[in-house]
Amino acid sequence: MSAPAPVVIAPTDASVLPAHLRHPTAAIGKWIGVSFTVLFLTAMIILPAANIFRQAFGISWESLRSPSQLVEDVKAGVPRYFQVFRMPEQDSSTMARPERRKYQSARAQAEKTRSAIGMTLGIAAIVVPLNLLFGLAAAWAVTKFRFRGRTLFVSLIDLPFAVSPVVAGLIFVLLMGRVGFCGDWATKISWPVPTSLEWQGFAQSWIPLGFSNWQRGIIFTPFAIALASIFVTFPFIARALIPLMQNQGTEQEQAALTLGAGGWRMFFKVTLPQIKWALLYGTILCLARCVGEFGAVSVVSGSTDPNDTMPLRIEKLWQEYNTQAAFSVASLLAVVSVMTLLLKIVIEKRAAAQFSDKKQEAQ
Amino acid sequence: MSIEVQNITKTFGTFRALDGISLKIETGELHALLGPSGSGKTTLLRIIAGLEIADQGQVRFNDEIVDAEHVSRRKVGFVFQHYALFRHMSVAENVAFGLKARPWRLRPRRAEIKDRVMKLLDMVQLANLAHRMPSQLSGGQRQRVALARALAVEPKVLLLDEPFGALDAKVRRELRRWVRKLHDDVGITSVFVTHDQDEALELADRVSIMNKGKIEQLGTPEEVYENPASAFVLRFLGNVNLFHGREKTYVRPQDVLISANLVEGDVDGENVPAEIEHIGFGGSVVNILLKRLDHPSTLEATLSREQHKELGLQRGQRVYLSVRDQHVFENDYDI
Repeated sequence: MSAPAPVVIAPTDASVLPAHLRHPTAAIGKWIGVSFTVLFLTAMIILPAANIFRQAFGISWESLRSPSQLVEDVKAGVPRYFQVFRMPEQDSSTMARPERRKYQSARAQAEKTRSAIGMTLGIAAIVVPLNLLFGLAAAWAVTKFRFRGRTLFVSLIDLPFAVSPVVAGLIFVLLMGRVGFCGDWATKISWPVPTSLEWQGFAQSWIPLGFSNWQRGIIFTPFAIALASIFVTFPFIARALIPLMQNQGTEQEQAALTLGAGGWRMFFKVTLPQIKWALLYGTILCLARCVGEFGAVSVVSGSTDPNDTMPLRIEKLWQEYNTQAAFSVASLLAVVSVMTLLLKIVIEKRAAAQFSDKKQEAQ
Repeated sequence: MSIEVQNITKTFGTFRALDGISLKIETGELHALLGPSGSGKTTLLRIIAGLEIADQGQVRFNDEIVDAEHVSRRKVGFVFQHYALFRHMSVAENVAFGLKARPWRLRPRRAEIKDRVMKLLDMVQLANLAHRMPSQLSGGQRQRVALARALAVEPKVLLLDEPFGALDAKVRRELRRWVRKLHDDVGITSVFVTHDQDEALELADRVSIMNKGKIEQLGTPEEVYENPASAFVLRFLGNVNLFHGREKTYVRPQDVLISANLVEGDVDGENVPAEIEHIGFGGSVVNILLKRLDHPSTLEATLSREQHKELGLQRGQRVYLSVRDQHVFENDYDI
C-alpha cells in the first residue's frame, strides 16, 4: 500500500536533522531563523490582531502604563462595544435635539450592523452546504473515475484561486447585469427570499408552505452575493479531499461491493467515514473564506445597505469615521479566524492519528 | 458450486491480459491460478468475482450465466491482496458489514448478527480481538479477519487474490495449512491467485499455470510437476538446467547426478565433464554450481547433505555428470 498523504502533513521527527549530524554553526542558524520568524509574526499578525480588540473596546495607549486607566477604559468600552450591535431603547423625547439625533443615528447604525451579520450568516448557510455537495461530487468524480478532460476539470476547480475576487465579481456583473450577456433574463427573473418561508395553509395550493417575499433580478441582490461567494469558495472542499481520496484508492469500496453493499451504503459507511476529517477541514476553510470575502461581494452587492455583509459593513463604518464600530465588527471576524485556527489544529491532530494508523497497516 | 469460464478475453488498452481462456473448476475444489506477474491471473479472478467485465466470453456458476449479475449480487467472497479491511471499523464490525448490508427482509436480527460474527471469529481464532481496530492487528491476523468477513455472507465461492503475498515466510507457511484445513471444513469452492509455485503445489487440488493471458497447463500438482506440458511450465515450477544439444533438454537440479570418476557404460552415454565452481549450503540440501568443460555454460545440481558428504566434493574438483530425468519439448523456440 502506498504511503498516503495526510490532510496536512504535521512535522514529523523525520523532518528534523538529528542533533549529532548538525554542523556546529547550526545553532546560529536556528537562533536567526527562530527570532526572525517570531519578530515577523509579531509585527504582521499578533500586533494587528491585538489592535483590533484594543480599538473595538476603545482602550487607549495610556492604559498600557496605568492599570487604573485600563479599568476605566474597559468600563466605558464594554457597553460601547455592545452598543455597536444593539443600542438599548431609551426615551428620546426628553433628550435635547443633538443628543436625540445622535441616539437615533446610533440606533439605525446598530440595526444595519445586525442586518449585515444576518446577511453573512444567511449567505454562509446557503453557500457552505452547496459547496460541500459540489466539493464531494467533484472529488469523487476526479479520484474514483477516469474520463476525458479530467485534467482540465481539476484545473478548473483551482480557477478561483487564480482569479482576483474583484474580477470574479465583475464576471457576474458582466454576465447578469442590465447590459450583460444574460442580462435580459437575469434582470427579470424573480426568486423567493428563503427567510420568508411561512405556513400559508391549503387555500392557495396543495403545498402549505410558501414564500411571502420575492425579489426581482440577480445582480445587486443577495442572490448575486451568494453566487459570487460560491465561486470564490468552491475549491476549498474539493482541494482538501482530492489528495486524500487519490491515495486511498478504491480497494475498500470494492470490498464493500463484494460483500453485497449498494452504492449508497458503500459511500456512507465506507468512503465518508474515511474522509470526514478532510471534509471538516475543507468545510471550515470554506466557511471562513465565505464569511470574510470582500472583493467579489463588494462588486455584486451594489453598495446598498440591506445587501451589506460583515466585511462590507466594516468598510462602510470605517469610511464614516466610525472607527470603534468598524473594529467592533472586525473583532467578530477575528474571533471566527481564531476559532478556525483552533479547529484546524484539532483536526490536524485527528487526521495525523488516522495517518499513523495507515502507516502501520502499510507495513 | 462449480465455476466455469468460457473463452474469456480482456484487453486493457493495447495490452491483452486474457486471451480466450476457458476453465472449469469443480464444486468443492481448491484451485490455484499460478503465473508470473502480468500473466492475467488476477484479472481472471476479478472477472469471476464481477469486479472486472470481460470483453468476450462467459462466466457460469453451476451452469448459470452470471455475467449480468453485479458484483454485489454474485455472492462471492473476495479476499483482497492487502485485505482492504475497513480501517474505521473494529474487527467485529468488519465481519458484520456484509450481514448488515443485506436488504432488510433478508437481514438477520441484531442479536443473530452478533452471534454469527462471534462464531466466525471463533473459527478464525480471533474472538478475543473482536474490538480491536485493523491497525492494531498483525498481518496474519488481518488476513484471517478478511477471510472471516468474506465468509460471513455465506458466499457460493471464495476468491483469494495473492492471499499470502504480504506476509513473512513463517506466518505464510502456517496460514497456508490453516487455510487448507478451513477449506476442507467449510467445503466451499475456492480459487486463489499466486505467483509462488510452492504455495500452489502444496495447497491446491488442481493448478492452472498461466502465461501471457493463456492457460499453459491445468492439472493436479503432481501432474504438472511430473509431466510439464511446456518449457514455460517446467521452468516456472522450479530451477531447471538447460542442456544445449541437437534439441534443448531440461533437467531439474535434483536430477543431475555427480560422480567423481568416469562412469563406464552410462545409460545415455553422457559423461559430461565439469568443474565445481561453488558449493552452497541451503539448509537441508546442498546446491552445487558446476562449470561444463565441454560447453561454455554452467549447471546447478542439488544433493542431499548425506550424498554430499559421501562424495566429499571440493571446490575446483573435476567431476562427471549424468542425468536421471530429462524433459524435451516440441516447438520450443523461446528462451
